[in-house]
Amino acid sequence: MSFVVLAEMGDKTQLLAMAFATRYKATTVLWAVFWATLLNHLLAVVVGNYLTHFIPIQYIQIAAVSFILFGLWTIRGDELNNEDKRFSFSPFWTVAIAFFIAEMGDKTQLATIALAAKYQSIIPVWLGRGDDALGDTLIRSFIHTLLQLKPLPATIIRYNAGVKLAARDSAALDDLQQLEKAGADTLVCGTCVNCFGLGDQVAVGHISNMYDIAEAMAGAARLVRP
Amino acid sequence: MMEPQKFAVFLFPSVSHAMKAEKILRDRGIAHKLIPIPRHISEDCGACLRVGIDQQDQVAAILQGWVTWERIVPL
Repeated sequence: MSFVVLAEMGDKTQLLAMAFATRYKATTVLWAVFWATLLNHLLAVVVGNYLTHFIPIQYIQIAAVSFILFGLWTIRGDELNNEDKRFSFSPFWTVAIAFFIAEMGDKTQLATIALAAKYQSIIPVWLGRGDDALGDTLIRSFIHTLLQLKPLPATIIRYNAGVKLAARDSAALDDLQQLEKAGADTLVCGTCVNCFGLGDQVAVGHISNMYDIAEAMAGAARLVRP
Repeated sequence: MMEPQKFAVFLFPSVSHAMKAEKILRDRGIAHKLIPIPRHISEDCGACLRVGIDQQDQVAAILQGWVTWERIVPL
């Protein structure tokens, strides 16, 4: 996130926003900028994600080729300066379209492409939120590490999307099975299993309910959460 | 179930490298496991990719050119 914010400072689009703000209502400009940028970066994320299917990551991160291409494009001219008199669109669309074009090949867009290529997930990178793939890695690492704790946990409870860890195709399955074999009581929230349609796929632990789960939690000397 | 088996771990420059490598192995159907880096190898917080020691060379060949790793350590 900070990477993209820094890349945006003093950018040509910042100047463009100031120019538009003198002419239109600030809120119109802000919304137009917001939507144009969001759309543009969604495109960037999709492209970045798609590229990794064909090109090794090192080459994308360099991004040199695209910088050169867009540099040439800039020399040819984006005609941003000549658009003054030809506004046949509403202020919103004028600003949005101008931004969408100005952002094309921008260093921010390239940064987004590179980030998306690196992290390979569309929604998290686009919206700048936490990375689900990383969360997935962390919870599996956590469960693996539980096996090495002394004493072992007496009970392991999985609820909400955590029940997916108990499914047949879960990458954490063998660790959970080993924990169960070593004596840990492993509870899976029945409501959650139904909600995710995993009724016939629970491969470790036993389906439980809120009474057992709440009692186990309340009776535990210590609760550890990932 | 798990038979006693010998493993090697691939260590990467970052967790995103490890995740990328995992994705490649998953797509190729090669048995592997992403685990926290064992303490005796490094005190750093990180993830590494554990594979059967017999698969080590095959995995290295697959990842070559797609993901860089730092070193391979037998467990």
